Amino acid sequence: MKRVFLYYFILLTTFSTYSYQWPSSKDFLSKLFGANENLRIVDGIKFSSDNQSIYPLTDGEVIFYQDSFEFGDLDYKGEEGNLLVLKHIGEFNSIYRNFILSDNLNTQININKTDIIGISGNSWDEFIFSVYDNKNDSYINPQQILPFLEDGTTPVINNVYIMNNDVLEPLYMNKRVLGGESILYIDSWDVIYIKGKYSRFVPFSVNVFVDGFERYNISFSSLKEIEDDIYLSGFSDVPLKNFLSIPSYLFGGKVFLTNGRSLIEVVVKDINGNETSKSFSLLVE
Amino acid sequence: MSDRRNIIISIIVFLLFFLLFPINLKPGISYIPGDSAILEGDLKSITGEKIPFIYKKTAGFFSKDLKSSWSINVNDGITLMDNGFINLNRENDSFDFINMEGNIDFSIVNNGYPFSISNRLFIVSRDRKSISEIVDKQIKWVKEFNHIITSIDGNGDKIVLGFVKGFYSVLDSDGEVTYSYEPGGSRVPVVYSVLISSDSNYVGVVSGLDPQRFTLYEKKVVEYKPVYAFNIEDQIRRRHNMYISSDNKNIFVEDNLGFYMIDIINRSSKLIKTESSLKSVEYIKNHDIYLIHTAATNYNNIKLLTKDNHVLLNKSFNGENVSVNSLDNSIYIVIDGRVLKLDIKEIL
Repeated sequence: MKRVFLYYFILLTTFSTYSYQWPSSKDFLSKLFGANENLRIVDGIKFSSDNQSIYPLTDGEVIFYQDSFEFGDLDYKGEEGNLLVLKHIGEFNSIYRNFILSDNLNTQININKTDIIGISGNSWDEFIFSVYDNKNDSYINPQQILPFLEDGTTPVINNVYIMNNDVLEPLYMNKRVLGGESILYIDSWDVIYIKGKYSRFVPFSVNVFVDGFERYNISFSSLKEIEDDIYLSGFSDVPLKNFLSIPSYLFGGKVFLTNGRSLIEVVVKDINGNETSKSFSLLVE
Repeated sequence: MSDRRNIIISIIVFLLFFLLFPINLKPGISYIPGDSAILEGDLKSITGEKIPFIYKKTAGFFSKDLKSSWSINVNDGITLMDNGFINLNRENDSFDFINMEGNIDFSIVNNGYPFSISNRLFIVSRDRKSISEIVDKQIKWVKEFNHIITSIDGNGDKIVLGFVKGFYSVLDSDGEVTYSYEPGGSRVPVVYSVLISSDSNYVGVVSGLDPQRFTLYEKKVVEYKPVYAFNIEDQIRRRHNMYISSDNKNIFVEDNLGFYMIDIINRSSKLIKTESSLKSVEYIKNHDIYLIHTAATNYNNIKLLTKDNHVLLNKSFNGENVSVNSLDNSIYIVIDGRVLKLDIKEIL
């Protein structure tokens, strides 16, 4: 655990040495890192906008660009499916997908952070921004290095569910549950106030305590591949397939309950540290 | 009576004029009106061997004899296959496959980008990290990666994928990765372009920056071993247009200065300098020569090249987004909403 903290401390210190900027207006945030979208986990930040300027995260070198969709036998020059990859000092890349690239990227190799690299296309063709850490072979949550969002609202825990013998049931106080191994699922979201209204986003971390002991702790910090499987990685590594098992809920980890009374506490945080929690005293049979 | 005679004489004079003085596409491609057709008509009317085309914002098919053709305005993307087409409308989270009768054959709920290679239908996801194949009107397999796909090529059996991460993978017809390799040896390891021969014996890869290089891999049982490589002079930071001849003897790789012609058997290459970018290469089996199309904005050049780099024809003409194909003894050029058919024997 100490090593993980040390790693993130070094990572944050390294990144904070340089100045980074949001690639597009925060007013058009659509999804955050770790969101489950049609059984696919978002590996960056998505923006839903028309005609918004796109800027690089910071100064960088163009290492790959594609200014139209170019797969297949016939060479159709469409206006979508565009891709730009910039390499930055510090062994990481920033990746920009689904936007209209500026014409000068055909010839320009070094990009200044004040350059406009393109504009967003259509709101249905959402612009995706991601950051890839080459050293650790993982996508990192861009919010960890970007200037903070102004967000004072706490996440919401709507319900907590327990799955035992493939049956999913909501938890409530004094609920009778079966002993042994169970899986928790959490119906929870973060709330961010954007453009005059509250919008739902995926939170940053989930902690589960059983009888005061921490049993599960995941933060949406990075996505990495370990032996052909993709893991959501933070304080611990959790296979992505667990998060995709019930798309609308967050995976809350496995808990082992023994006969008697047990107290389950779930804590959900956003990246700014705003947190909310819910506790359930259960009768385990 | 005299009116009718005048009309007939006018028509004969008009036809004689075009027969004696064929229309010239600046500055040198000639054709006679009988060997051209306007790209319009009914999809159902296309009979016999058909050739797909994409021209500006239209796409379609024309028959080998130019007696029938059909075109459609491209919405947000187009996929043309032997048995139909997909005209993608991005506002929908699904797409329809239209058969050659003009009816919806099947629909797939997916918001990715459909495309075809060797008449196989694939979808790459919008985040570029997954690929799936559609067989018998449904998704047969889906392969997820944690890395962004830069380039794809395939044949009737295998597909090969290149990644930003700097490796390539070969997938079998069930979407299983049978082989992955990281070329390495460059400051930046991105794989820019991949191709695979029709018999799956060769894989060509352009990878890296400082240096950027082309590497030819040859199949040894399951693995592919590098057998030939050279550094590319003028590094391009996007996908290179790359073609392999249907007889699997030569590979053509786009470069800013022209294109490289690589001899697979003798492991050698030659940079052929051109004024414009490589657009397509076709092997004309009947004459054992290559048809090379290079283009820039409103400029096109076609060359007929022998395997020992002897140029048999070198013609330039104006036109934007021109499509050039060949079949049997003819070259087909789609330009200005028409298709022109040129007889290779006559040209030579």
